[in-house]
Amino acid sequence: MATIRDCKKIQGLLSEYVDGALPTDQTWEVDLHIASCAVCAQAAQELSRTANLLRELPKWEPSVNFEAILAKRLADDALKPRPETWFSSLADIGGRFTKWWTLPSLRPALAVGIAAVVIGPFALILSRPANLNVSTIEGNRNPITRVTPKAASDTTSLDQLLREHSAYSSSETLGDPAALVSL
Amino acid sequence: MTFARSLNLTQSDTALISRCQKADIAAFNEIVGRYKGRIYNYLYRMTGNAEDAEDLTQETFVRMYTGIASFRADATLSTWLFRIAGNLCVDSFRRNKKARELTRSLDAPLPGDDENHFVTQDIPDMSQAPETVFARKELAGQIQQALQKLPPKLRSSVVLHDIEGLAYEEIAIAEGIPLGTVKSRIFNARVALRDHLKPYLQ
Ligand SMILES: [Zn+2]
Repeated sequence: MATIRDCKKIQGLLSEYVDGALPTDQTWEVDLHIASCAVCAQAAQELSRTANLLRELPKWEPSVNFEAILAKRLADDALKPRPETWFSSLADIGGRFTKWWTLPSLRPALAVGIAAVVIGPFALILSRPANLNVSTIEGNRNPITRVTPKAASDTTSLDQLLREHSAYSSSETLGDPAALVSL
Repeated sequence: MTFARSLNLTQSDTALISRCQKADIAAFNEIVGRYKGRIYNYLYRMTGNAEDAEDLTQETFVRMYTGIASFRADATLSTWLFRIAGNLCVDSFRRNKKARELTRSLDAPLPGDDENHFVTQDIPDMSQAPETVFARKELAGQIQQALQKLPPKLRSSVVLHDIEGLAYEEIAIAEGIPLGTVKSRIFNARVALRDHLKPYLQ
């Protein structure tokens, strides 16, 4: 005869059980229990159906213009004025490059070029505008290093969020299995 | 070119990343094609909003592109992309929350994307008349609403697992949390979703 304590223990395993993620001995234990416990059997079935509902949701796709918009965004990003560190390192590279880079008449061409490369067929990569942009992006190493601290701050913000949620973390344990029983 | 394309499709993520790190745009293009659907779908389920999902998916690939040099081999490309997307989502929720706080006197707070929104608040009692609820809204809409009721941390884990098909271990890496926390979040999320969706589980 199953006791409430057995049920609590079993229900803590049910989510993994319905995923087939439990080791063999624990799978056995759950099998054995739900064969004789209607409450846990129903809880297992409901959790399994819930997971199935999620799995069967239609998959959404981004818009057909996604690549074109992304290409423009990358191009705009590459043309955006950089913080001082960027400008100072740019100055180190030399005036000629700076002039070429910031020349307004070249900007639309550059944007179109990047767009063509990002959305275009691979053959474009070998063509001249493609090469121009590849080197542009290679010359763009500074923005790459510029963004590294940003990536670090992303991690920080996640950590911070986790701390903000410490109040919630009390329920990070396997909740209250009683919630499962009260059907 | 068809041959080159088919060759390219079989290329591993690792190979694409190292090409991308050498500023190979074709490799970047390939990565976008490979992952935009999954990232978009994840962000759509997180935000419940096509416009935000599109914008955040764009931003995910911009960040991937600009941060490719910092990519570390301890993550797979997909866990890395989901991590970027998840962080962008967190930032976006926080911005929305701030904006809402500013206009709180004018507008009633919106349910859903608030980080501190607890699962037990403002849940319509669907057990009353499931037929009418069915008639009014599609099941998919109900599921999305139920997802919106979850705290974002739980929502993210369960979406990554049940919708995007990530393994527990992959979610632990993507979210930077212990394996046990992943399991308990998925468990708690499913229990809450089950409670919201009870009329549809028969
Ligand atoms: Zn039981």
